[in-house]
Amino acid sequence: MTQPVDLDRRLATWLANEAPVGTPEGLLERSLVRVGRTRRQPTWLTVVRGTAMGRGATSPRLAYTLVVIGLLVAAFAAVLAVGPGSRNVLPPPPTPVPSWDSSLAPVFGLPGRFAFASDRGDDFDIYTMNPDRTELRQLTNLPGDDVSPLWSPDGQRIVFMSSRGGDPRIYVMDADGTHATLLVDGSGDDLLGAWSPDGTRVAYTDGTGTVHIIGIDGTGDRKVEIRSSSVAVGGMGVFDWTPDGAELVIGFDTSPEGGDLQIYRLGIADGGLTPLNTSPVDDGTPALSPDGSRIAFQSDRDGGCLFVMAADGSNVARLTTGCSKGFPKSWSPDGMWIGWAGARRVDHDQPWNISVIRGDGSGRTELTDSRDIVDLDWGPSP
Amino acid sequence: MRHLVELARDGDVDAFSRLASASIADLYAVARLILRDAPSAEDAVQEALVEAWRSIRGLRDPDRFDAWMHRLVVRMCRRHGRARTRRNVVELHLLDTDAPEPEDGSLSLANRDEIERGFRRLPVEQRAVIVLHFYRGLPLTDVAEILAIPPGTVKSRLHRATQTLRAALEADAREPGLTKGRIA
Repeated sequence: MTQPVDLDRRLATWLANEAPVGTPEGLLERSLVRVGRTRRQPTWLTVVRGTAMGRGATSPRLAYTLVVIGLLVAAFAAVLAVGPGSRNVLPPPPTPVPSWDSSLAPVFGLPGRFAFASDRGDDFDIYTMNPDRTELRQLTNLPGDDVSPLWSPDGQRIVFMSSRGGDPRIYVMDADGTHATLLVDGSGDDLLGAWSPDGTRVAYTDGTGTVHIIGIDGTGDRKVEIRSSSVAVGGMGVFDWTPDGAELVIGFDTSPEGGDLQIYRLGIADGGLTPLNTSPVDDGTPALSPDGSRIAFQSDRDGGCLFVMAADGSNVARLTTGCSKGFPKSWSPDGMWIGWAGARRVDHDQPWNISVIRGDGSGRTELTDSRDIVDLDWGPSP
Repeated sequence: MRHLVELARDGDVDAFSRLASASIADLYAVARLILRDAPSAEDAVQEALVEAWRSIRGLRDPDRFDAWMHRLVVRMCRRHGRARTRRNVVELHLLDTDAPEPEDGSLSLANRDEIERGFRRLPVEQRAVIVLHFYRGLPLTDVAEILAIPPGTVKSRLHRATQTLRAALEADAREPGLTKGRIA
């Protein structure tokens, strides 16, 4: 048995041994170059969130937030006073103040509604808003990260990952943030996933890379066994479900050594794999258009960035250069636009903002500038 | 320090550069220990400094600069920890379990590997608490202030982290044959 004091000592010793001496050459200089290129926040956005960092005069924005919180507390007390039957009703999170610059250009004509995760607070929470940046709503606010929201096909519910209970688990809630319930009490390494076209099931991968399908009521969890001995499976992710309900669009690492992501279609009934335009470089984060005819995906081919191809892997066309990689893409409900948010660590100049582009590569626009948004999912209006 | 923060808050980039120069070694060490990966740690520090410059006007108490910077670094570490979850390949090292235990109080190679393996299993939030508490030597109340979470949450994260580590170490002790694995 490892004694507490012994473990504390071992940890402290290990950390002291592992701590780097000094900083990598040029890190300060590179950082300062980036600082020199960075626009500062406007004054009205500069309240530091949290507890102790923002001591001092109360800003109008903070005052507004306090008033909203006060009203919500009063409303909650009123709900409690109604009777025992209402005690399981939690108050919704306060209406959030946009974290992006209010002077951004207006947006017109984009359909549907966005769901996304943001760490504008002290952890990741899930928000929704219209693509024109109106009707911003915060759906979750419990301690722990709430990420990877996915709209149901009818826009009435959202599945998401949450670490509110410790390790990340898959939950489902109504589109207004109420009635959040645990859907998959897995190993903590599960990953979402996709809704079935009829909205009755959800596909996800467990920590071993095995694909599962579970009913949205939490019943009928079953594995989809992959029938192939020709590929090594690692880093598996389910990204979409074909409109006919027969196949999943998945991405996984086909190299035993890692580092060769490819996109496949996986037959749900027979476990058959169909490669889609495999290349010697990474292809990933595929998103199927609503009518199932096209797939948007990220690729390192030809200098890398966002591409589209037909659903059978033919007719690959580049949409952008120099965009962020690694985060999910999502089509607008009318199939005209592709949206994404977030940037992987290798892309210093790609902030965590929402971007959209038409399916033909025109009209690329960055809709937010707050650098705090990931996991965009573009769903129908509830 | 306080004067430099006030200057930086007013837009003096030279003052901010001096602040960055003074704190970057500490910030990098914390990020490196949390993420266990040098390139990711460099990215996290760069992004934290950029974010600090963007939002330093909102830092009302200049004396909180150091805690605030650590908070930004931990935030960026959480982002990087998340970014890797889609393709999380962890190579475990070959252990030389027959190596003798050192007698000078330092950790043996096997001990270091055991702790490394257990530490990598922890989520970034728990790693941050461990690094700030056991490496920086901060009391839990200060850790709570940096992470902007209640002290009780810090305690529970620390408790959960040490429980997980202890379980991992004891599992290793029961399975001395464990040599190599790959989590994909």
